[in-house]
Amino acid sequence: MSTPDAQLGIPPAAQLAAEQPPAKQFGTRSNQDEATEFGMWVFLATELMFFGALLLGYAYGRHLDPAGFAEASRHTDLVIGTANTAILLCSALTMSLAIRAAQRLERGALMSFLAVSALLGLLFLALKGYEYHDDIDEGLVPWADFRITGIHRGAAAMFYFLYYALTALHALHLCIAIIVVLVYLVRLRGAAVAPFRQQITVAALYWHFVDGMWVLLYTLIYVASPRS
Amino acid sequence: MPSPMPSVRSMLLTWAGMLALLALIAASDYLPLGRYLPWVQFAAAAAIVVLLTFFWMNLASATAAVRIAAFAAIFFLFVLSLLSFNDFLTRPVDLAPFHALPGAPAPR
Repeated sequence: MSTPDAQLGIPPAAQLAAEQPPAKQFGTRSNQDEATEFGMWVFLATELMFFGALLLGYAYGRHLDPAGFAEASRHTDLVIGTANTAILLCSALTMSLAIRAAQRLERGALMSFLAVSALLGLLFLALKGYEYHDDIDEGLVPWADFRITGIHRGAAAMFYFLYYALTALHALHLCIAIIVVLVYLVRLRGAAVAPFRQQITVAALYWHFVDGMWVLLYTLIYVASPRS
Repeated sequence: MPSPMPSVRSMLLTWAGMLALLALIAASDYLPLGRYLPWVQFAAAAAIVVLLTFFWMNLASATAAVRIAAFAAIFFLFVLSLLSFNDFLTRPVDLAPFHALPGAPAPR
């Protein structure tokens, strides 16, 4: 499945890695790798704050009218939401397997797992698009002809505003993650794995963040009320 | 220095655990859990996130600086939420027009 770097006429990976000098502000390659990973975690912390403002809005709305949020939640498509969550968890597995392949310098396996991850991400977006289409058809757009009426209309409108804001923001992040993966797939063609090893590991952190954030959104949006 | 990676077997076990927790969240919507429903769901979701961050994002074996950054994010999100709720939950609510429908729930 994998093609070692040596078969491409590329020097042995360990040697290649050793030959790579660190950037001039770092003493060693190890320092540079640690700083890269730390930088990504700090970036993810800011991303959590970014989503945090909307999550706070959700918590406030649900506190004001829990019955209204529950009624609105029952209009969401639980099957698509659950399938999408499972798809992202599968992509998290393939991304972890891609990191493993990168660290073992198995370029064939690495490229395969990256490609599968990107395809799963695209499948998620396709299902999400289909769900948006259904939502619009069913009149679940609060700023248009909103279908939910009655005493909980206001809270339901707030729920659906947050639904679109949170899921669209998440979809934007997933698009960025897919583009990053596709860029690495292109850059890895005919190239050695070793120079990209740490970059791919850090990109996978972003992918996993997007996956984890979706699990929280799924719990808040799709299963916020009993359907029994 | 690349972080140590778990074996394929442990990755598959973690993945199976995550899918089982997802099934629990989805199924809980149809179970008569009453007021415990959100707690069960949030506990299962939190467990998935913990598995993801500690094992696949390697937080369990990360450097101290990385762990501090990760926990600081959660801590400050908590603090900011607490401060915001301290305001939102202790002042009178001005009704928006859509809240003023006949029979709409009174603001808390």
